[in-house]
Amino acid sequence: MEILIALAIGVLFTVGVYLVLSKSLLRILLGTTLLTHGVHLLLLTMAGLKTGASPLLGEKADSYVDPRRRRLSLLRL
Amino acid sequence: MNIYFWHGFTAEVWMTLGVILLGIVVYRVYGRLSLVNKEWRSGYTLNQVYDGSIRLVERVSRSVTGLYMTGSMRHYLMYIFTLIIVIVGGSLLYVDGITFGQGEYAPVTFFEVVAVLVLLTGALAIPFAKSRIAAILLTGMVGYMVTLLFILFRAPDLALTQMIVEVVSVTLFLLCFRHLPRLKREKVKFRVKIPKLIIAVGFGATMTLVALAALGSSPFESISSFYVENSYTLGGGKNIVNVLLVDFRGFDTMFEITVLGLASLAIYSMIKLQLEPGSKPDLVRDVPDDNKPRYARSNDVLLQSVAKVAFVIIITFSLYLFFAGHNHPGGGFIGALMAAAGLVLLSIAFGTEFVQKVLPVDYRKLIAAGISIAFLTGIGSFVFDVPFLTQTFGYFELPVMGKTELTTATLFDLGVYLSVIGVTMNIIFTIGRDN
Repeated sequence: MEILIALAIGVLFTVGVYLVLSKSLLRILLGTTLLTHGVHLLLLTMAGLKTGASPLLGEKADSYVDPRRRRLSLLRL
Repeated sequence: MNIYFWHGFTAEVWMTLGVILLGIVVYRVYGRLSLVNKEWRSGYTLNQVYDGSIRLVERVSRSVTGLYMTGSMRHYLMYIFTLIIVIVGGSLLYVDGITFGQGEYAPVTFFEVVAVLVLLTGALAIPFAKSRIAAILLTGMVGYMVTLLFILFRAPDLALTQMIVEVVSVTLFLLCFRHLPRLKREKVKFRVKIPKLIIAVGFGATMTLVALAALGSSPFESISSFYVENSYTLGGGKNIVNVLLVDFRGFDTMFEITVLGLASLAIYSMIKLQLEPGSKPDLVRDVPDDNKPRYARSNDVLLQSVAKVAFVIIITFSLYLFFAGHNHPGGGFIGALMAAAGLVLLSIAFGTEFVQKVLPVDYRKLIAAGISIAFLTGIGSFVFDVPFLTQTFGYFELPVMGKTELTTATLFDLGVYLSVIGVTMNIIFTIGRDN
């Protein structure tokens, strides 16, 4: 499962970077969104999947969500 | 060591004398030379040679810098991504950090495979999307699949947050849909496209390697066992994530909401400053008057009646999340996002002016109030002579509720809750209203 997720992370980053490098503003925004998805999955996977009860996983990852919101909204300007 | 004034006729003395003599001769001859060579010298004084060479160096360096400092964001991003690929990927290969097939992998299950496949399809389809709506919705689809994966990987807090953020951000995208440029079929030459593709694929591959490498090795013992053991005894909560946010890492959280609040105020002022009386914002200026969208009041009866009921449910659920946060999935941050989502629903159904009239809250003051509450809970710990932001908890007998756990962390979380609502609604109303 981890390998599959690692591949998914790779694809997310690939598409994200491709979109960010394009000219249109909307594509860049969507690209950053995809990049953040990739980052979240990466953080979660690094902790190891399914190694314990629920709250154990993704422990610090929660606080990474708000910077992302902030960046998204900032970029939208 | 001995020091003498006079060493005899040594080489140094002769050299000094020679310099003096030469100086006298040159001074004598100089007047005549300047007359003879006037024309020649005015063309090529050393000063001019110096100035010219400086100018030449400047011109060369400018043309060299101009080769890579193009002023285009894309090029800079390309450099950054390439460097990341080279440095991270290269060092991973160099130290042989990629461990493949080591450690115990979780079993592959059907649902996860489906979710991942949908995610991949959605992500890969985005660059090919022909319309803006399709691209936005595809991104939303990817987001929801990520949420699903969070649930499957047992990170309920993260999944809740992700889901609400996804709802709000897709809504926001559609709210400022009109501002976003139309998607053009990008007709790019292959010469431009190929490096982009190579960089993108290289970056993706590097990240995959990083993920695999991170799985294979754990050089230090993880700190998480500390949190698992002490969350209930020290923090008094069963939800480790929440205890982590409000208690163990309270300081982080406090400044995080401060930064968030400042950012949203910055957004507010950036947008509002353009709205000097008499001038229209740049974005709207070129739209003819009849094409202006009518945001004032939607008259969708179904949406309005559902929104009225749903709003109450959403707010109740948001409060539940807030109070349950300490022991179950939830917490101030998620609860606040939930409440914001409810307000967004209401403002889509009835218009932002209506929501402002019904709930005349100054969201910028709400941010300030939230941050102050969080700070004050921190300062409150000085009264009891303990370090800043020390949280405590206890069990009390309350008249109606029986034995109840009360924690100071809840107060801190209240600060988080208020400021996050303030931040979210401030941004949404600012962006949504300046139409």
